[in-house]
Amino acid sequence: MRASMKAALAAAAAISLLLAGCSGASGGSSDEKITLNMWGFADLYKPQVQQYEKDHPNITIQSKISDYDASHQTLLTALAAGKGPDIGQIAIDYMGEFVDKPAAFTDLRKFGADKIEKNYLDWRWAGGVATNGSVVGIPTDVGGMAIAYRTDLFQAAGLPTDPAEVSKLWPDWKGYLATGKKYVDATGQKWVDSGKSVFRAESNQGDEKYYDAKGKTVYESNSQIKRSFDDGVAAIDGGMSANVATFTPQWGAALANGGFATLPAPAWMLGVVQQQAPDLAKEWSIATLPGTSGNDGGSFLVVPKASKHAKEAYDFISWLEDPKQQLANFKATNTFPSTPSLYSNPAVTSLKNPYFSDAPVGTIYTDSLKAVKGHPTGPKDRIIENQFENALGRVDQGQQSGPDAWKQALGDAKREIGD
Amino acid sequence: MSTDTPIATPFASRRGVRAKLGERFAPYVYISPFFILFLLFGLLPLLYTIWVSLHDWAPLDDVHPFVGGDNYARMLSDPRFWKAVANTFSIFLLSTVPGLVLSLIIASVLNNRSLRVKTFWRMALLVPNITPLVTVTIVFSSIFGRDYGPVAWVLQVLHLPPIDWGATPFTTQLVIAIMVIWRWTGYNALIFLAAMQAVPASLYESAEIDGAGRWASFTQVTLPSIRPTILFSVVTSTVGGLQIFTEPLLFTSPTGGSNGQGLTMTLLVYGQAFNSFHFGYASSIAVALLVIVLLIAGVNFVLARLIRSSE
Repeated sequence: MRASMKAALAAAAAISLLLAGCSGASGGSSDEKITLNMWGFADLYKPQVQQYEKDHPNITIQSKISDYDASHQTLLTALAAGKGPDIGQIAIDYMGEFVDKPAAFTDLRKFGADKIEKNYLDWRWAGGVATNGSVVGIPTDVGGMAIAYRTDLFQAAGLPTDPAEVSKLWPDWKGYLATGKKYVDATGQKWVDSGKSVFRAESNQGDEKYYDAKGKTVYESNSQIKRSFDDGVAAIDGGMSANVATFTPQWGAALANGGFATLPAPAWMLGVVQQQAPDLAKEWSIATLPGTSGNDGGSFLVVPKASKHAKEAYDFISWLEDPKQQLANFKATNTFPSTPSLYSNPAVTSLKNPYFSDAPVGTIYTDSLKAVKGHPTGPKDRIIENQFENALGRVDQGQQSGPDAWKQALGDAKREIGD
Repeated sequence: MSTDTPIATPFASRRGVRAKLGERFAPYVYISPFFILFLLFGLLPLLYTIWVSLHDWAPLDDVHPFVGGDNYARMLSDPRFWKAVANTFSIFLLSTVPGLVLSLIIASVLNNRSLRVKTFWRMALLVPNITPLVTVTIVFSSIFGRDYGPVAWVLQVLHLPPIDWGATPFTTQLVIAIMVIWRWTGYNALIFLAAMQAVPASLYESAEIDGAGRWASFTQVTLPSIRPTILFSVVTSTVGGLQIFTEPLLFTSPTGGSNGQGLTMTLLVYGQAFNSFHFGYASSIAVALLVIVLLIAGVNFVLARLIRSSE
């Protein structure tokens, strides 16, 4: 009798524990308090979030920030299971494959996204629109593109150091490589962090990249891609490349120790450089990118279909990316706005960066963005890009010659996407 | 039964049937938690993976067409798959063989009865095993950096050219193997140590009487006595070694390096699933990995049988 009593009590205790655990889980979607979950890889600007929460007391915003690649994989896994956050952040490199499946997302036209389209750079907006016209995501910031360079190393090599004069050294990539050759001959040091950097900066400058406007892949025939690849190989063959992959510990060490004299840098890279090499303040400056136009980076904010608060999510993200908020964000964190109305705003154009020797970063980056023609994106952009970057990695590591690496890249790309 | 207290007798007939039933089923109930968990988290996902591998499965699509063995046919003709298999085996051999030998040596050193602060040494052996894998890989990547890092400094001091450890397949796999050895040697050494401590001292004494030296007593007494433990470690190291993932991912890249130098099978599964969004193809590679692991475990089992029957 006693044994079965004990067993019954134990069972009752277990069941009550289970129930206690479960009761908290199915969280409050009552009409009064709404929590918006955001998953991303770059944190929101806290004061703006707090201001929105103050203006909308029934809304709390919770963000979960993960590593760049991990955040996209988590989002993909959740979407594949029919779940997901209320707001997702998808980087521009990954957007092609997500926008290819608009069924997984709420069409933001339902809440009036058409009306805000004119606020944004047209090529930036187009990246968030699916082929069936559905607006999957709205743009956040842009990267723009410029060249960061070490003024002290330039001086030691007999090169000019003023941004305007340095920009004159390289109106195009031929000039950039020629200056690089001069630098290497004079000092024996490396000029750029990797051949991949050159490729990445130059390949974004055409009006087509890997896909044409009709959605057909053109990476094999696109002369812009071939030219960018050859310039990357030329940098490597000319002894200019330090062969360090961006954001690795080796890259950070090379950055801090003069391992390379120039660095193709979008606006968000400036903060990274400052963080990695705080002792090198005032030894860096910024010059125009060869070919001027360029963009690297930026993301989209999307609302998955599974979200129960799509309207509130849209209200928040459209407010967050409105020109007014983007200006405030820019003033505080220097993330570049994707709204061209701000490019003539003196607050943006007059920005100078003290770490980078007070270079006129405001005008340099807005000029680079104004010159961008924009290119069609496609679902396999990132995979094709990986093959070319791997190819340049092989050349940089001395494993293959340029032409062989190019041939293998084309074959690999065909196999990766060809099913 | 006859020692039961007299009080039990009036109840015996009423309790009899239920007690007997309970006794019959109780053992199964006690072991059921493991099997329930295995069913939910092991077997069902496995069967589902095999099911997915028979489809063209893009994660965000609504429809997943059935393609039968197409994924497997594609896998067998895919040079990356064979590169991944070759890399997996070479990393496995590079890490497991020296690792287990090192574990044996460490265990025999710690088996010394007059060793001081025994517990400290045993705990120290476990520290590499409990360090987060991501931390280990990042630190080792810095150690084996090409231009900056302790290894590069040593090479400089010896006037040797710098080595780009991530460039060639052999150096990449060597670094990955070193990470794996660093992580698992202590763990296996502790297992061997436990087995060695169970060897009766009388065996060693009789060996000494027969004139055996240190080496002879090690090979003729210790090793044969802990043979089942060595077999266990070989099997677990094999199963683990064929699934190495985090080290190559963080040391090289999600594609295993610029030319797949560190591409292991698990890394290929991950890349195909989450980089290329081919869940079906990734599942077929996962099933192939399962088959390979089962084959090797089977070979281990047969060898063990042969060794045992030859004694």
